[in-house]
Amino acid sequence: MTRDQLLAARTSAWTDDERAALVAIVATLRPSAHHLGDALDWLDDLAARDGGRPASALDRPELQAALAAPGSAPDRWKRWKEALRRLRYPRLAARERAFAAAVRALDLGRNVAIAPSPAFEGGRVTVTIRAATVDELVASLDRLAEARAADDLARLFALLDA
Amino acid sequence: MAALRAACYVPRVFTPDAVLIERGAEETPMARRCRERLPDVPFTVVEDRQAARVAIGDDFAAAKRRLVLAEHRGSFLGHCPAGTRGLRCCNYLMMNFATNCPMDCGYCFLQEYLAENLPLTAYVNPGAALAEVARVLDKHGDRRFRIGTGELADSLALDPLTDLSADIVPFFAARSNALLELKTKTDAIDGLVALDPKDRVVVSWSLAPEAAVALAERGTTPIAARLAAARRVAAAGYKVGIHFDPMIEHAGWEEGYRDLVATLAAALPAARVAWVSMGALRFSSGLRRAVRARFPGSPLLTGEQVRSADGKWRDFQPLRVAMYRLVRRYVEEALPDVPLFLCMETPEVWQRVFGAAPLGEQALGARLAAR
Ligand code: SF4
Repeated sequence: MTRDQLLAARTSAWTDDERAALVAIVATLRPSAHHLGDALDWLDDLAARDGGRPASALDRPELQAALAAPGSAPDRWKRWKEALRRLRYPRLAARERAFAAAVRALDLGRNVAIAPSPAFEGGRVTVTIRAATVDELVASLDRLAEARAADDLARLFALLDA
Repeated sequence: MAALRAACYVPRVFTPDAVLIERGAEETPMARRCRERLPDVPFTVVEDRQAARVAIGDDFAAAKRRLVLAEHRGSFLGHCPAGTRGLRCCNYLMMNFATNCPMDCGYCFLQEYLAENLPLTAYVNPGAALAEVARVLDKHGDRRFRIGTGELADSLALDPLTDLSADIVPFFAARSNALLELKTKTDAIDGLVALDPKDRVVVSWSLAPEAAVALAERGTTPIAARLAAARRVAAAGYKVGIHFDPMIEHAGWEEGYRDLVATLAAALPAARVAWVSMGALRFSSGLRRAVRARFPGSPLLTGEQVRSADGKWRDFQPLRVAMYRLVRRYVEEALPDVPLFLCMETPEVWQRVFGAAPLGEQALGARLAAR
C-alpha cells in the first residue's frame, strides 16, 4: 500500500479538517508508508485509550514542536514520531528517561555508554567502553568500580526490573 | 456491562444457525447426535469442507454461527506452539477434534490462524484421533504425556452437541502415561460429570477478573458460572487447571486478580487444583492487524505492548513481570503447593518472577503430568 492509499484507507472515518491536518504533516515530513502506518496505529490507540478522536493528538504541543523544529524532513519526522511514541507509551518512555538520567548520574565520562535492551525486553544492558590506550580503558573501569561501590549501578539495574 | 455480557453469553448448549455436513458423514454417530439435539436447526449436506468454506463466506463472526461436521484427514496430533525457540514450555501435545469456536474473544489467535479456514468444524471421526494417540502412548510407555484439545477450539463448547467427552474421557481414564487437559471458557460440563476420569483428566478454565472479561471476551461464560462448573467437575473426580492467561492489565487489575484468586481458592479445594499458569496478553503482528480490523478501538491494543524476542507483542517486560509477581503472591498465599508456571515466557522472565531458572521442558512437563 502506498502512503497515499494508506492515508485514504486509515482516515476514512476522519473529518475533512482532521485529514487535512495529517496530510499537511505527511506532506512536510514525508514519512515512508511503514512509518506512517505505525503513527496511524498509535493515533488510533491513543484515541481508544484516552477517549478522543485519532486526530486529537496532532494538536499536542510535543508534536507541534517537533513539526516546527529546524532540520531535515527525515530528522523532524524522527522527532515527531518519537514524540508520538512517548504519548503512546508513557510508562515505557518514563522508564527510558529514568534510565538515561541514572546513566548520566553515574558520570562515567564520554568513553562509556550504557544502554538498555530495546523496550527493556530481555532485561539486559549493553555497556560500551571506547578506549584508545590502556590508561583510558583503566580510567573507565575505575569509574565503573566507583559507581558500583556507591550503589549507583544497582539503582540503574533496578530500572530493568518491575 | 454485566447485563450486556449476560445478553451475549453463549448458553451451555450452543445452538448454531445452521449445520453443514460433509457428504459421507451424514450417518456418523456425531451427525446423528447433532440432528437429535438440534431439531429446529437446518442441516445441509455439502460435497466437502471446501464447499462448506465457500457457503460460509469470509465473515469471521458469522462463521462462528454455523457448524460444519466433517471428517478430519491427516494427523490429529501436534506440538503446542509454546515450544518456540527461546521460550520455556511444558512439553505438551495438542489433539485437534475441532477448529474454531462459537465464542469470540478479542485476543483469540484463531482470528489470524484461521483467517483462511474459518468454518467452525467438529470432526466426525474422533476414533481415528484416539487411535493415533494410542499408538504414541503405546510406543513411549515410559514417558508421561500431557495432551490438550483446546488449541484450535474450546474443548467443551461443542460437547453438549457432539458428546465427544464420552469418547475421550474413558480413553484417557484407561491410560496410565497420559493426562488429558480439556480447556474451556464455558460451563458445558454436564457430559463430564457423568463419567469417571480416574484422575487422568484435568478440566482447565481460563480466568480473568470480570472487568477484563468484559473488555476482551464475547459469548464466554461468566466467571462465577465457570467456577461453579469447576467445583462440580472437581466433585466428580476431575482435577482442575487454572490459566490466568491472557493476563490483561486494566483499571483495577491488582484488586481484580486478588479477588479472583480469593474466590477461586474459596470455590475449590487446593488438592483438586492440578496447576495454575500465568501468561501475558500477547499478539503476533498479524493478530494485531486482525484485531484492529475486527474491533477498531479495542482496548486490548492500547496497553504498552512491545515486540518481544519471539516476535509477539506483550506489555513491556517490567510491566508484565510486576503483574506476574503480584499474581504469583496471591496464588501462593491462597493455594500453597499448587504448581504455578508461566506460559510462553523467556527464562529471563522466569528468573525475575520466581527467582530461579525454569525447569527444563521435560522436567516441567513431567512435574505437571504427575499431578
Ligand atoms: S474461548 Fe478460546 S477458542 Fe474460543 S474465541 Fe475465546 S480464546 Fe478463542
